Amino acid sequence: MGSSTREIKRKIRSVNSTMQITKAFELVSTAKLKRARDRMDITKPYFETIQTAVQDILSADKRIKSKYIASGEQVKPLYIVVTSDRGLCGGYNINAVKKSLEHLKTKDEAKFIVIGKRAYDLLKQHGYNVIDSFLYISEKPEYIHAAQIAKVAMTLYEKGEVDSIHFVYTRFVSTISQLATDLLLLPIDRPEINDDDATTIVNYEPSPEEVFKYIIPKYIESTLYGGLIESSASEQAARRVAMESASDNAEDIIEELTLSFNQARQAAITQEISEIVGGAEALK
Amino acid sequence: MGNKFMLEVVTPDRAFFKGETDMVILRTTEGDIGILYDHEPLVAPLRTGSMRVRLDDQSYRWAACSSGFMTVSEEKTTVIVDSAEWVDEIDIDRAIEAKKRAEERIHEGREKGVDVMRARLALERAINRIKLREVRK
Repeated sequence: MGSSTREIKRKIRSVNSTMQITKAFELVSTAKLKRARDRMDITKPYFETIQTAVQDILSADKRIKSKYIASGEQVKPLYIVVTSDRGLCGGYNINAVKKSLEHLKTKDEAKFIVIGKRAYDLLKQHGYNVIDSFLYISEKPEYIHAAQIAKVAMTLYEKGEVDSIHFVYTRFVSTISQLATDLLLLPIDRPEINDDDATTIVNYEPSPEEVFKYIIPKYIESTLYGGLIESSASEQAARRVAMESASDNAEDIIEELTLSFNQARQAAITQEISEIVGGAEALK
Repeated sequence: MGNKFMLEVVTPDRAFFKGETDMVILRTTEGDIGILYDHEPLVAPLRTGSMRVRLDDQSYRWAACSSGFMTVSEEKTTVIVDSAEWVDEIDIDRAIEAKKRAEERIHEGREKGVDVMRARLALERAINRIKLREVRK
């Protein structure tokens, strides 16, 4: 039994212990994914209702003029980027960060609010203008977090330091597919007004402008909240997939290593026998 | 009993109510407003207060609501609020606790740089809950 078999045995052991870790991670994220999905199912109705309500108000009424509605070119974007605090989840973080940089020409034109340590580290390292960060909330986001983020972003918008707010989060398409998405929060694109059914006249108490001033922050908050929840589900799903393929890969490697271990062992035995036979021959 | 319409109440943490009723009374920033079947389209902000849904036996079911807004359209009435709970769900101990905390915060207010505005709102919510619980139980 030479040193090569021992070497292979050591490798097998090491791969095996790595596999145990990835298996454990996989189980943990499966459980967390279940919980995150449950939360997502609960918040989805709220998220969608608010979205449709704002769209309805805008499309029903052409009179509303507001600084929140798109007009002209935007040159000072603010990006709110959602990532995780931990790695080992495949392309989840990098895809979100890449998405936010997609339309940027220079480093200085955009400001960033980041959620999650990964984006914070990445963007800081490359010298982007990170003005605020929310760390260690992305796994279990609460409504109050979304409200805080919204407050920071709205203040910047009101002051005119930014003229558009983009929200980059990861949409949960299915357990095996998540998509980084860039959503324009402000200014709101006025949906195409269809003249045929624009006959309903909606009443606003006390006035359209007042109502709008009230609803827009709500809209931003709830959209952020919905995005945070969805991203956290996506994170767990991405991690589960990454860990699953890591475990599969470890199994393949172990199989290969076991094969070469057996070959090496057999070769050693064969060699020993031929040595003994050779020695016996020589003694005759 | 008048005609019924569809009412939907949603909060960030649950779909609070979805069903048919013939009247709901809500507290807007301009005052209480009652919605009946075939109300004209309306959008209005809501303030912290109560919500009443009329049941089949003409009695009202009361709920405490935080701020939000409502939209009335032809198909249905949608109420979107930060939080809502039926009167019998109100955790009175928690509300009293919250009231005390908010009062303390307002009290120490300016020196310690507390967000007084936020504390005021919290106090308003707590008082609203306690009041509803006591009056409507």
